[in-house]
Amino acid sequence: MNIQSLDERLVSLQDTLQQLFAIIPQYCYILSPSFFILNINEAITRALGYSEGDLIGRSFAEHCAPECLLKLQELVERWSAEREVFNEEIAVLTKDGRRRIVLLSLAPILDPDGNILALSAIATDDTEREASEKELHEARQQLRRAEDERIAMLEEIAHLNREASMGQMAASLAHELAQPLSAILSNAQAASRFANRPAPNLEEIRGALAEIIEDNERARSFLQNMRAMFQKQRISRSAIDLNVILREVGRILRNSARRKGVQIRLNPSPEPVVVLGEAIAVQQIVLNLANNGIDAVQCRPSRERLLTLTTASRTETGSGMIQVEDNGCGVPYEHRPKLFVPFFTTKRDGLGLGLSICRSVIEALDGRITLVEREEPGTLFEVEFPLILP
Amino acid sequence: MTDGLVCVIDDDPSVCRSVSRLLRSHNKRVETYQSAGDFLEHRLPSSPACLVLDLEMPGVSGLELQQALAASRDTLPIVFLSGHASVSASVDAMKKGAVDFLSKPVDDSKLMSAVDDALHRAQQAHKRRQALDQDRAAFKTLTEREQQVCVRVARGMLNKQIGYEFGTTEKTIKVQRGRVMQKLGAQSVADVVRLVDRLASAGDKLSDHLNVEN
Repeated sequence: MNIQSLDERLVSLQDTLQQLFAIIPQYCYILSPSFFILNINEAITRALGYSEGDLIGRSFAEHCAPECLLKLQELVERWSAEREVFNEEIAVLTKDGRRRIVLLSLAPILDPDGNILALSAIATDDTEREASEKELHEARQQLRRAEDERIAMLEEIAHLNREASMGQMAASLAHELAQPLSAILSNAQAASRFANRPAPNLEEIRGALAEIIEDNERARSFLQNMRAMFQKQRISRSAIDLNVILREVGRILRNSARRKGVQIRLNPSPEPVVVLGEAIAVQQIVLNLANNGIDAVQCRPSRERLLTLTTASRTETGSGMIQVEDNGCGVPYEHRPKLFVPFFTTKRDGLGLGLSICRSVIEALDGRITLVEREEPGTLFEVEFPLILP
Repeated sequence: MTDGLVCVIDDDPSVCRSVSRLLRSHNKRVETYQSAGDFLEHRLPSSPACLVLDLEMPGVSGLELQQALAASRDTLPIVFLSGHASVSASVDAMKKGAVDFLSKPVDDSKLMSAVDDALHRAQQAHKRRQALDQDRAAFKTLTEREQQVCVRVARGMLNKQIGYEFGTTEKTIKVQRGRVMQKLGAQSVADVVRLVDRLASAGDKLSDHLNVEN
């Protein structure tokens, strides 16, 4: 091989490298060991708007964003110590002053003896990714907001549900308010009569006024307590024992079941079934399902009407479940897909919200409700919640 | 304006105090009790009195107290006050002779007309009671035989019939009958009839005096 041809080959190799250098989409710099720019590729002139003359011979730091200079200094120090910098984020400025975020990597260029001649700096423009990440972030936040709204709605529903059960308390609440109001009225009328006497009885009047103030305070603080009680509370979850819920529901339903000729059978698991949930909401759900069951068994003669509540732990799926089973008329096949759809009902005076609310609340509690397919007549709902114990 | 004692029974002290103040402003004599049991521990008032009674009380409820006082229903008329009058409770109370059934908050005029009505009934009952006590006292002044004669006269039996029943003469009966009239302060046979009627309708056992021992 003669020198001529070797030289030609070197030249052609250099051309190839130059071409390669030119077409690399990353920003490529050749830097002196003291970080002066020796050469740049076309990606830089194209994307950052600098000509070769703008950058070559100048310090790399000159076209970096001011807030990055400390970081750059750090990278230079690391480079001196470790001879390597990989994908470090800094910001460079375009000729017209816009910021581009780049991931900077540094590698040494060595002579045959292993001495450092120069270093290659390759910067991958990350601005777009950054931007799309920002978009993604925003999209995520929107999603989160939507989720928050959904949860808020579910809480609203749970709240309505709770309020419905509180309707039953309304009578005793009325009583609580009637007492102070009654006392206030009587005292006011008495005071007015005492004042209208030829010789007003000041002692009685003073007593009446003092008691009016006292009773007013009593009514006010009562109302305040009520407000706090009715205030929408976030669904805050805690450890609850499904066996306790089961017995509670059994107790609540005992009388109405007896009236409607339904026998209630309770099958609590021998061990507590402790799940993550919210006692009142879960109780409402089970009550709702059980009431549906009591309605469903009315098609049978009264001796055969049976409602069964069962609890069990399923360690294999990490769930605790409560089953509400009746031997009533069952859910016709064609109704099954619509079962949890709001406003779908087969009851003459039903709203069709019970099951859809149940499902919403159950899902807000990370639980699940299923209509279990089976051979026997009747309906079996299974509600599961995340198991804590055993 | 009717005189008499009003007993206010309510477990709520402020209702107790305010209702009693209102009654005082109408110049009523008032006693307050915080529970039905509290009231029952005291001697029932001997003068005309009525109750203003809370329906919903812990322990003995208003309706239960009404039941317990059923015997003195006329002498101790009841006005019920209720925080939330249920229809069934009010019907129940009225059937058992309550004067009125008012819901809280109660208006002055309604309460007063009910209380006056109750006191009026109490006074009537009181008068009847006093008259009855006098009748009994008068009847007790009679000897056994005179009582027997008295009851028979009131039944419209003739002296001759009574004499025959007792195995004595018409004349003896006539003397005894005169003493009965005198002791009872009766102007006529009609007075005797009315007195015996009053005692009989008060539940006094007069049939004993229809049996002749000898």
